[in-house]
Amino acid sequence: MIKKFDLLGLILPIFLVFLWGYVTVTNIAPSYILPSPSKVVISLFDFAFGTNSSSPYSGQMLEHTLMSLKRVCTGFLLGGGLGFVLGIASAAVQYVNRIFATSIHILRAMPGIGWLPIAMVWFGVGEKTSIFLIGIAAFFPIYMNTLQGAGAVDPLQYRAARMLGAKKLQLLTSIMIPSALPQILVGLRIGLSISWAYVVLGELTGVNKGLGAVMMDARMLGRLEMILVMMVCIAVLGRITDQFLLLLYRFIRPFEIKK
Amino acid sequence: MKPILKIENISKYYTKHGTKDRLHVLDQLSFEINEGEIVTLLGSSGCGKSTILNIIAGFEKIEGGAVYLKGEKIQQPSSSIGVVFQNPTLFEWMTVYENIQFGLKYKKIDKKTERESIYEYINLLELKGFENFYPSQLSGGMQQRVAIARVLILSPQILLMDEPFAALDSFRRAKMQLLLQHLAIQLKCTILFITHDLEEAIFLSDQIYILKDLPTQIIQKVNISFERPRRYEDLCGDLEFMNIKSEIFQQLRHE
Repeated sequence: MIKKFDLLGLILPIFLVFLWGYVTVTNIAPSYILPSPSKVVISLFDFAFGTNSSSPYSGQMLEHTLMSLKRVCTGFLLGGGLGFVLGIASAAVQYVNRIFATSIHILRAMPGIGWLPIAMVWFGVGEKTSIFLIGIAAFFPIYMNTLQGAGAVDPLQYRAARMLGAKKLQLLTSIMIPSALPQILVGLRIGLSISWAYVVLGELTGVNKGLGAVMMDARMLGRLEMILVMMVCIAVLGRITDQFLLLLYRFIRPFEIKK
Repeated sequence: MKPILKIENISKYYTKHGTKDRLHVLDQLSFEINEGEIVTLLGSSGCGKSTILNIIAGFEKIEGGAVYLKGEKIQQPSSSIGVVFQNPTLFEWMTVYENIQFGLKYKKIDKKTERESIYEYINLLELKGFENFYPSQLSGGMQQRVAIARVLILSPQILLMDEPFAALDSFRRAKMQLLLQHLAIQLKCTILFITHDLEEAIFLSDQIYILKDLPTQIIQKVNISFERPRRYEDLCGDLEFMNIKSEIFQQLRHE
């Protein structure tokens, strides 16, 4: 898993940062279009540790981060949980699949963002709308991958388990779900990354707290560097939660690294 | 000796897709297996051997006849009929220990007895030191030994083996045949063995049923009465062994 680090890959990002610094220092890109890298870094530190008390965002990172994280987790668990349960049920019982598959594919044709206006009507501006959007976003990839993984289990595995004494429901928990786990993980990771995309969308539409809310606030106040700081924070958080998923997976499936 | 397994007039056919034509795989096939014997079904590939085994195991439905284990009709798979498949079919996400433990979970046994029993079979199948390995880390022969252990630990009334050593090289296969023979003596197993390997059949069996295909029929029953434990190096040069081999070979060629 730990890949050998390729120094060649560093050249482009370093060059881009220098280019960014260059165009801001020389005013090719004025600061109201693109703030300088140093300003973004200083603002990031201030946002995290409160080093400059004059800024309204000073030291507020934890509060906003936890808010966004809470929304992502709630939506992800609700939507993803439903996707998982329905995926397994559809793979296990043909009737469930036949009843739900068509409807789900019709719903899936609607891009997640398209749910925003109607969600605002139903749930009002704010918390519930964000969670609804995240739930919708997380549901589809997790449902699809769970169904695909659970449906692709080698029939011989079920035969082996039955001849060892496993009955219907036991086949589900002891064969189907563990066999499908690698594919389910793929769904979880896609779902989680889309969840982070949709928390930004949800929070842009008018909540007080959360990284997306700060982003929108900063845009209105003309604090461009804070917009960039939020982008960095969201990217890093997305990465951290993804790694957490992988870590959890490796804890359940230690042999895939032992190999 | 009394029969433990009775196969009575079993018939099985597949309907050709889109037609009413039936392909008769089995037509009124009957035979018996005595308790404590190793019986082999010998026939070329695709002669319906595996179908017979799948029916006895309760995996496949039949159109006629019945299979009785100790007088009881077999309706579905159960742990009293153990199966070792051609591929080990282990549970990849479980360790060797957990794979062997799998069937015991569905029996009410206290933890201590369970543990002792698992280690007994780990030792019997020469898997000591590998209990915490995962199947993908083991050789094919070891995987197959795990597959045998997880079945034998449930003390099945009969063990069905579907060309279990076909994927092994000849040296490993000879070792496994010897090991199986020792297990059969020690645990007093009844085994139905499927193979297309003539020497393997003669080496392992008390009875050999020679099969012909479509519909599958038994064309000859051969008694093999060499003393056990049989040793490969002794039998290889034995005149009687070679005679039996030659007879069966001629029989198969005429079909």
